[in-house]
Amino acid sequence: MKRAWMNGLGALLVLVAGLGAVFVFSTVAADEMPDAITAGAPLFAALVLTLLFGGMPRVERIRSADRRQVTFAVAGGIAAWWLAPLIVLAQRLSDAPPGAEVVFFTLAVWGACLVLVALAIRAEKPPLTAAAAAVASVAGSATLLASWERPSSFSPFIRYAEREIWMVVAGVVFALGMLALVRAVRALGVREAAPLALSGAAAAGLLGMLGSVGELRFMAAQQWLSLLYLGIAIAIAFGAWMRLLSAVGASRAATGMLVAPVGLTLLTVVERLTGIYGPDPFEWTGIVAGSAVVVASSVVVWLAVPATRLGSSHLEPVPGRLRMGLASAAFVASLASLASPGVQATSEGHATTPFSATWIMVGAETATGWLVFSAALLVLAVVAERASAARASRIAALVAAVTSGIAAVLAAATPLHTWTTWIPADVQQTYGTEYARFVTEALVDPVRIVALVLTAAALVSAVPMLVRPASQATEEVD
Amino acid sequence: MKRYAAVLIAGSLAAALLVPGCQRTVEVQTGTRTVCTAGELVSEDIKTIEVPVKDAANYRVKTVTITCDTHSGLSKLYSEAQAAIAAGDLAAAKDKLAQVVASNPTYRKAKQQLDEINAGKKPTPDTGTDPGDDPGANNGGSTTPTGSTTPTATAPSALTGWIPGTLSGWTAQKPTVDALSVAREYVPSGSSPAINLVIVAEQFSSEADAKKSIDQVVKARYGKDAANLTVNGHAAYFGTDGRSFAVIAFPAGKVMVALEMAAKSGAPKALRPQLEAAAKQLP
Repeated sequence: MKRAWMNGLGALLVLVAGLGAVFVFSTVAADEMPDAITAGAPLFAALVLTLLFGGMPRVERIRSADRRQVTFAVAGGIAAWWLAPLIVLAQRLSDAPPGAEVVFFTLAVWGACLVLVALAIRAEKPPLTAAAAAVASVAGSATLLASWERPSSFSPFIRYAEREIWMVVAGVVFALGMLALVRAVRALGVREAAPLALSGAAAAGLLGMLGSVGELRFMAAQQWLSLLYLGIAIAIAFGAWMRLLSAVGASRAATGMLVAPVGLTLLTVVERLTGIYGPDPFEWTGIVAGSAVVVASSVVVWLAVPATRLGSSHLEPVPGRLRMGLASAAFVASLASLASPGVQATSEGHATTPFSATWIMVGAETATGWLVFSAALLVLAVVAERASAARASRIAALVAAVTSGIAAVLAAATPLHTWTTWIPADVQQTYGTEYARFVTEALVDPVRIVALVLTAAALVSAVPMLVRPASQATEEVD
Repeated sequence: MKRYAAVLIAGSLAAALLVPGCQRTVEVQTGTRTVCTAGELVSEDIKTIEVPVKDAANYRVKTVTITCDTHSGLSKLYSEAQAAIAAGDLAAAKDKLAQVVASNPTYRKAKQQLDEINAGKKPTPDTGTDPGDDPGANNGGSTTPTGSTTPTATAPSALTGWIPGTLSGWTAQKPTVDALSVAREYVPSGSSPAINLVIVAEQFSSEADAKKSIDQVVKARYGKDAANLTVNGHAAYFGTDGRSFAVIAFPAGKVMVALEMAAKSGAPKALRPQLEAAAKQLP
């Protein structure tokens, strides 16, 4: 049991490293060659490496398998490993959207997509705590990525809204593909499902590259090393995914994606320390607060075993009315705080005709708004959860709620977008120079304070639920 | 319970998404700031008003550059002094230059010429016709001249004095000149550990603001290897970013002057002697 747990954790770390490498090398390759080649060519290298290190599939086993499972493997591979990345590549220009936004949408949001889409699949359905933790992890990632530099280029759904909506759509495609794959992995085994999935993706990649044959010859000569590196990174990430899908299922494996922004941040810290590249200046408070929330929430997702795997004996006590009332009130207050004042923003520019504006950004536009929401959501999920979740994951969810609450205070002045649609572009383009500045100041909002206090009260009231044995499926009266 | 939670979440989310949809307003500054070509603020009529966000971009602060009566008088006196020098009437020149210096000690070459006359020398007449006249100068484009006095599109002389056309050891490049700031890049004329030198002078409305800009902007960006020093009587700050750039910055009245140097080697602290030598060539 302990060994399996360690193996799972090892695969998770490899997945995080692999996802980071895929992001870095696909960013490099995306600038150099057509999307169809970047999405398709490395899949062949990944397929070869998977066959070399994962072993050849047992043909007899595939022949005797249910056709539907083979179809799931191939379709899942195409959707998750060719189509979804291709959609993203089609939306990326050299630095538009900026890297922080691409990390957010293709790692944090994709991870949450996988957990949330899994809610609709009976066999994979994660507990409510996992879904709430996935949302909290996205809020943590947003806090983290919005703190990579100041003024930050992180402004999701502002400058490249349409491109980013497509990235979310790609996330759903990826999630559906991975859920098809996990089904195939369970039925066929990793050794058979993995090559089938990558073969399907590579075949689709080949078809996609037909329109770029002329460029392919040139690119193969010029950029073969970039494609090879990307292929190796995909093989590593894919291998870790398969191992995790088989061992822990889709929603728990999503932990790797959720936590990947923290891994990439560590990489940028190294870059910055060595003085080569990397965002500058880091906003350390936001980095630490966001990372803590991501890690704490990801632990919840990792520990949350799907209901179908625990059995009916793990029904939890029905929450008392007071407890549920407190958690609901905290949640409603946290939602209201998304619409109440978050930070006061000031934009000033004097590169051309001077411009100065001061306005209020609401909670939904700030890290603190979503962190308070996440804390309340986590507590509500713990209280409302009836079937399933292992006690460890629920305790972890309460820890994540506390972490989110503290992070909300620490990141009180962190805006989730620097760019604004209505400020003249000539002002915004010069942010960070001596010609223009964008600053925010935290506001004390009574609604947010009420939400935090109610969340804390609900959290304290939820603790006794977790102390009792899980098998006591009895009605509880406060 | 699940239905209750689902209804709660759906209803609350809908409400939270609808509320921010209400029209938002923003406080913007609008009005006119009038500055003299000599760099001083003449008048300021700026209001803060609240407008819908969709209209915010229409409100800006217009900067008008004029030559104010005081500096117009200085210009006349200075021109007369130059004419007197050219005619050899150094007594008249001394009288007029003394009046100029009493009003504005940094006005063009008035102080230098007065010192030369006092030392028994005959200064060379300054043939430039406008304050800050520089063949390479350009206007930042933000000025909209109005008023009864002749509008100019040149830099304030109080600022241009900080970016001289000649600097020993350096070759001056084309300056960038705006109503309230000037900047000029210099490249080494011989071998140097620096890639380049940039001098920036920025006008503020008060001496305190000029000092504040050093404390809040310069020290924040160049916080490494910090040291205080004196340059030509100015209390200056030396600092680096720890990677490539070193700076010396000091307030000179209402003007903030910063000399920034980029190191070839990645050891910006070693640029301090070069920076000090350059700074000492300034007024």
